[in-house]
Amino acid sequence: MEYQNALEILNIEKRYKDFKLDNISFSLPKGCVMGLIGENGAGKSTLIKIITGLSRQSSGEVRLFGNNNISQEKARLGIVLDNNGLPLKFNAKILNSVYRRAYEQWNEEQFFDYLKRFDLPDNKPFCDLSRGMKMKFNIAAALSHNAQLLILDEATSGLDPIIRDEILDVFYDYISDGERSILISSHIVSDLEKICDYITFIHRGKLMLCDEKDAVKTRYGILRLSPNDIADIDRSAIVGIKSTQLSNTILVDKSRLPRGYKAEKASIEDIMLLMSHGNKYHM
Amino acid sequence: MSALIAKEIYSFFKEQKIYIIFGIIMLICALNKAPEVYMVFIIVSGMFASTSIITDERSGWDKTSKLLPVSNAAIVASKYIYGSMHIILSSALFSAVIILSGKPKGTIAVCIIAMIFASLLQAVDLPLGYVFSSNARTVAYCILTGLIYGVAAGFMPYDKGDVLNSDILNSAVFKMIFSAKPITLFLLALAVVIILNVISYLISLVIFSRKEF
Repeated sequence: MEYQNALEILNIEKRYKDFKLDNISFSLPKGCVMGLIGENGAGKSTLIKIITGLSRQSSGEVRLFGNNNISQEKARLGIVLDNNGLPLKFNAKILNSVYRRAYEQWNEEQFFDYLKRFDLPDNKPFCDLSRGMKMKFNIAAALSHNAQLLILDEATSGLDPIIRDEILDVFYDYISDGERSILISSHIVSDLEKICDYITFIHRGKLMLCDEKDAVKTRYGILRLSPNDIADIDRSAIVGIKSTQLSNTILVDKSRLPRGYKAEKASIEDIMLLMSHGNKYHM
Repeated sequence: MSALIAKEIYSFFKEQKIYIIFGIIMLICALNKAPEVYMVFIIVSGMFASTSIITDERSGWDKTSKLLPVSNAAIVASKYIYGSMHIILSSALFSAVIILSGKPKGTIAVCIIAMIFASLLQAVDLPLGYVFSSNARTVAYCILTGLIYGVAAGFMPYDKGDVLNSDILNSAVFKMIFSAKPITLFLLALAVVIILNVISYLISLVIFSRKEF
């Protein structure tokens, strides 16, 4: 079945006693990479659990490849969560035996190639491996059954910068055919800036931003002003502000800035930090 | 589902090899005028499926299996199939040993009764495993197994010379059952086992389908 969006999130809500994932909607176009950012407890993992079927939403809909029946599309997903559990005494060979029975398109040769590339042993039990090595195993498995959508929740956390860079290259190669997509959440925002086409920012359960990365970086900039100067700025231009008694670091919508002001470039991390502060400042 | 059953079998040989040694010791005891021990071993085989749920929970495999392209029905069914395989294999193995050793005919029937108790243990314990975490389940599990072993004890044969004896087994109802052909007994036992586990499976499936990770 032809589809335009690998993933569609439509008005998803999830209510807990003291937290609410509130009316989240966005789409991930086919062939693209979307970075999901937000502070700890923002709701990223909750959202990913809903997408993968580990949790149920209170309301709203998830569509994978245009299909709202998630369980029918699991074979097309490659999922790496923060703590993908593996039987402790298993090794790569046993895992391969299990997964080739589970996935129709399991590619054993590709799996062992990735293991070799990531420098992983194929006969050591998982209980003897570090967290980073277990994560690499899960990544290798996710890449080895022709998944059309990779969903990665903090998959590169706990990996050293060298291997992280290599894995990002692997992801980039993986989607180069234009048919595969990736949704990746990470605290290492600089990694996401390298690879992502889209950025989605969730803060305290609310969707703050979902747009093309380049558009986000073009739209927003940073001003550093004293408390006296800030009054000259149109309030509607201020997206977020971090203020002290002496100065203010302001995230602005450049399209609403008055003439004469030139905003500095903002990184995705700056945008995330300042947006989370919101539009409030000390007078 | 073959992936999940393969996982269970691999897990058994990787993590629970001690039971093979345990089984060999039990076999030796059974052949040496201590027939009650084989009944214990068969009932213990009813624990394998729930032990598997505990190890899955502790390793995180329960979450991983839910991400695989298998249905909830297959995930739950794999536990029952795995557990039933253990129960049937251990019963068949001990029955075969007892036949070959020339023990009294009644001991085959005791094997079958032990198989039913093992299935009862499995049928009650698996839904509990899906409701409670492994730690919370421990108290309930101890009470449950105590009850089942307590009832099973009434069926345990004691050796009076070369004649096996048991108060419950000598009752009129059981004398009638034991007068049936072994194959009839076996089929009756199989029917009871299947019914118990089907009901338990349906309960487990509902519980597991509602579970969130």
